[in-house]
Amino acid sequence: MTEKKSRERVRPLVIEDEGGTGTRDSSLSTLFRQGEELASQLQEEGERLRARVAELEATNVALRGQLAGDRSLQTALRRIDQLEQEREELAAVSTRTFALCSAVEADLANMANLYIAADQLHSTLDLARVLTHISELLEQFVGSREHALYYLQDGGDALAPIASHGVGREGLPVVATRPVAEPPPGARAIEQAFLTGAPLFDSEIAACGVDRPVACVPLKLDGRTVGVIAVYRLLDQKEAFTANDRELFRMLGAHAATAITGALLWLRAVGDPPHP
Amino acid sequence: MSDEYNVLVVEDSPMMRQLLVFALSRVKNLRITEADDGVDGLRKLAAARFDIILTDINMPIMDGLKLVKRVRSDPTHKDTPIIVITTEGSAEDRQRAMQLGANAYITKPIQAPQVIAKVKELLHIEGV
Repeated sequence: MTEKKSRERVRPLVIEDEGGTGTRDSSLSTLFRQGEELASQLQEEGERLRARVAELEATNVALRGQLAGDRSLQTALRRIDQLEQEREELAAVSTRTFALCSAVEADLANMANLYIAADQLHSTLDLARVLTHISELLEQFVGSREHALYYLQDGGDALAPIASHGVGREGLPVVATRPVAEPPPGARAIEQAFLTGAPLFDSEIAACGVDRPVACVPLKLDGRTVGVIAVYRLLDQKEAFTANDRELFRMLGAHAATAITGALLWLRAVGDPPHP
Repeated sequence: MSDEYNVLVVEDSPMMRQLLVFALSRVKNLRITEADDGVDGLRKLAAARFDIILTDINMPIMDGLKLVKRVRSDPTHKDTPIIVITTEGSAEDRQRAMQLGANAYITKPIQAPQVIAKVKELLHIEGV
């Protein structure tokens, strides 16, 4: 309640003494009565104001409590923002970790492929089995559908196919180990891989075949090229060579020559190796 | 179903078997049995209960498709998941294997993570 309204509630004190002492006594009596009434009214008003103050204080306390609650809410909201940010950071870390795990798994699988390939290549001295293993490696690990293994012939002036898969060996050319003016179709890339000692890859896989090998990988023994793997065609689902394929080719180039040469030497010296 | 799963790998190529066994060894609680061909596979199936079978298609003596057919007529293993592995990627081969009762089809060159994922999916294995 405003101060003006409080004044209106308290009636004004009026002294009436227009007729002498008697009248004055009566007026005093009236004055005291009015004074008592005024005091009573003031007391009531005071009590009412105290109640109002108490009410306002209670409201104030409530508002302070609410304000404190708002602060807690704001603190909580800020914490939620922080947690949300942390969650996003953790999600990013999780994604990176998952990608890393996948890459490690892929690397592990590729290392396993290399290990298995080397293990199989050197698991026998039987020439037929060595050639079968190389063929399976090319088929399984590289995705080759048609390929041939060329090996240096006695005298060293030519490379001849000693094994093939998917294509008839009789239809494949013998490749001279010296450059010739007009080599038979498909022989040029094999010749180049042999002479340079570096693998050759044809990026136009769909256009490749017996007359145009998709990959020619030199087989090396102590740094000397003794043969060439010629891949003519890939499986339908194999669309391109990967870095892992090239690593497998590198491993094959290093190990296949040793395995073939060892089996050939064993065959010439001892004959067929004993079978369990 | 117990926590340990029996897996039968039917593959005539030792190299491919080694590759598959390596891949499967990455999954916990798998007990792997190897068979050289379809007939050897049937022999192993008669001797034990398997939770999943992986088989090559092109094998001597009995190929993978005949093995799938025989397994589906075997009361013990008629519901056992079968994954067929082959070099052939054509839709016809895939359809033929699935019609005979294979549950999945993987073409060579196989990738170890792919084999692991398919086996875990068919065995309802979660995690590593």
